[in-house]
Amino acid sequence: MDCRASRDGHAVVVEVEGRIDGATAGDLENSMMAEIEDTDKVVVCDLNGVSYVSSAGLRAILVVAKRLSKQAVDFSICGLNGPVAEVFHISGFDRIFKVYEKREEALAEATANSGQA
Amino acid sequence: MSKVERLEIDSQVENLTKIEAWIDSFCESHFPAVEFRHKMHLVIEELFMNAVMHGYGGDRKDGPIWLALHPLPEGAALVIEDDAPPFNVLEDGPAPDTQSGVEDRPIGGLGIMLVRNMADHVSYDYDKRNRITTVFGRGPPPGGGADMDVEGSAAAGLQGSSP
Repeated sequence: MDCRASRDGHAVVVEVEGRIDGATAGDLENSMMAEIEDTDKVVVCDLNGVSYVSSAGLRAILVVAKRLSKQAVDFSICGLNGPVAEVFHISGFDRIFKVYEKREEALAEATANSGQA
Repeated sequence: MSKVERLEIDSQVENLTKIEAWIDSFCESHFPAVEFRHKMHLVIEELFMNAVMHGYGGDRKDGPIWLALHPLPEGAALVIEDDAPPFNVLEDGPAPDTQSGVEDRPIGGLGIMLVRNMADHVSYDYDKRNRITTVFGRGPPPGGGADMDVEGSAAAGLQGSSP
């Protein structure tokens, strides 16, 4: 599992690759929290490179999302594919998060909502 | 048809990678299981993690976990056993919440729901060990007939199958 962030103004895109399972979910949670700064108002989590997610991975994403929600950060997810999309759907995670097909859509929507340029 | 594959492994999260490789190896030797590979990965992880974190409490590193993969004509059966105190996670675990929003959503309870969704049959029994049996693959159940056949043959093949 690999996790890296890129920043554009007040928005940050966290790009994740590989497997998010019981052995890597803790690393993802720590990495994401470390990548997000106090000034970030928009966080997009791009899971296009993720081939597998288990409930441990969902839990890690939910922990991060709860924290961001308290900080009034606009959080969305994009790039769900095949098996990962299925797990999100079964667990209802595709309904509690804003989910977009493409990163550009997520950024445009979030930026418009947050009023940030 | 390929033979039953068994793996005995300690209750350490780090062992997940060994289990994944074991599943992949089985799927390569038993072609009907290939289409269920992802589901088998997910189910075995959820059940293994449950045994490690809850059955053995998360701090015991040498709790034995026995795994078996049984080839079926149209899929596979996966059996996981542990030596932890008797607990039927299928009935007595936390109920999943798929409706609450981000703030209210409890963290947990999703693993067993994923298992139920991914496997075509799931059952628990206890005979000196906790045992969860899952079956992957079955034909369309016309009036439940095919369903009964696959589950019946899986159960028959699993009689006396404790490692």
